[in-house]
Amino acid sequence: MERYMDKNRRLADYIYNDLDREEVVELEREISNDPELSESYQLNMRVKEYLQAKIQLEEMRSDPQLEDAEKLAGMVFDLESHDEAEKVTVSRGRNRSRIRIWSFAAAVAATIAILISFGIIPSTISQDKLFDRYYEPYAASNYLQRGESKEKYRDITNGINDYMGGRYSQSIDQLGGLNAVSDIQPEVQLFTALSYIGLGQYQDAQNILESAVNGNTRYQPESMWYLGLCYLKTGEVEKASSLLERLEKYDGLYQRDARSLRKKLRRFSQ
Amino acid sequence: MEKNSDQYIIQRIRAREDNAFVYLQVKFQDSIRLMVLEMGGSKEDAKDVFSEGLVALICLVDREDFVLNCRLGTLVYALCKNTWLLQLEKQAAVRNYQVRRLDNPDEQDFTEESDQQLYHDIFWESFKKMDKVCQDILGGYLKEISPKEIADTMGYSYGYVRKRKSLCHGYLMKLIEGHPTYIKIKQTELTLDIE
Repeated sequence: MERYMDKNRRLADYIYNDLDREEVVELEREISNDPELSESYQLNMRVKEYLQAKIQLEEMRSDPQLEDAEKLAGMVFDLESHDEAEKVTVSRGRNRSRIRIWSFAAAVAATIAILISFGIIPSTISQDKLFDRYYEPYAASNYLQRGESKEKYRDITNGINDYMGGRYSQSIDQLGGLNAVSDIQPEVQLFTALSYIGLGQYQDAQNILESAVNGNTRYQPESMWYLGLCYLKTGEVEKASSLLERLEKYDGLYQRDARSLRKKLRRFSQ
Repeated sequence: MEKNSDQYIIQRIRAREDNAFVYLQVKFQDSIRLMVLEMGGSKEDAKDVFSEGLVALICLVDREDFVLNCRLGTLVYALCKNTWLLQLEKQAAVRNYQVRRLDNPDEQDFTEESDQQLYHDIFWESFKKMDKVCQDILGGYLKEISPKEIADTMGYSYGYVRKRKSLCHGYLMKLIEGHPTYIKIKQTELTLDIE
């Protein structure tokens, strides 16, 4: 332990320029010959550089003169719209309110960071972040082309169109009447579940997708992918991991995403 | 006028002297990059934002009615923040036309950035865990205040500040390397390397 502390103390003296010339030469020689010391040095430098930037950034953010600085900054952005006076009036108002919104958002983000650092929200935020990164609405262009050309698919096409247009409640209503039509059952299930996800009703989506995954649907990979995301959102990380592991075996669009997401999920389950 | 004072730098910017821009880059680029990263951007975004922020600064100082009534660093921050907020607005507009990502070329970057964010949280949390004397002494060093000035401000001897700085930094590194999330990331990295 003493050796560990001594190593970091010497590195501290080095990175803060508190060693004399001879000591610098000696330590640099040691760093170049000792991979472990070299790795420690790099970590020490990384910490120093980050803290330097962070402390400066926090000072800027809490500077009492920030309001004056923002007024000056506003002068530049006003210049860009000099010839469009009316437009400027509108955009200035919007910019200010946007800045206020972002200041509020930054305050919320800072609060969340503090909560995480004290372990009050240990992993939910990170899981949400992962969900946001990986979730995207399903693209149904192929199905829509097929649907438009055949009358048989008109009703389900309307439901899918609603989903594509972000009208999730209407999509669920539209598809709700089609549950009895067996040959389009997989589509009905999938898009109903997707619409529930769009509405943020993950448990409802999960119920439908679980039955789709356990059945013999032709949308097996899609159902597994979105069910995995639902599990992630509802905090069932182990289930999400195990499902993604199964999905990795399917060649296609989701294989790569499934692999990379599962690797990230290990952090939560270890 | 004191060399490297804010007013001095403004004059050098008006004269388009390269060393003024080098100074701005050395002095502020890292904190602006951190701001962009904390607000959801990437390292590439941060580079663009800093360059555009400097262009905005040039436009501003060239105005006849420009009077610097705040710290230059805070002004750079405000300009870059405005630039990034406008950039975010444009990105949001573009996203409205994109339904689905077809490929995932930035996967590695995302992983790196996500790890980087975790590391940053650990570094900052560990720093804030130290006692106030350690924070003030290390903070002074990090702000490139001379040890003598730190000692005078805090009422300690010069030798004590130098010694305490090393102890505090050693303690900080111990906190970081013993942080449960840090250990977990390192373990995951090892696992992934083996795979």
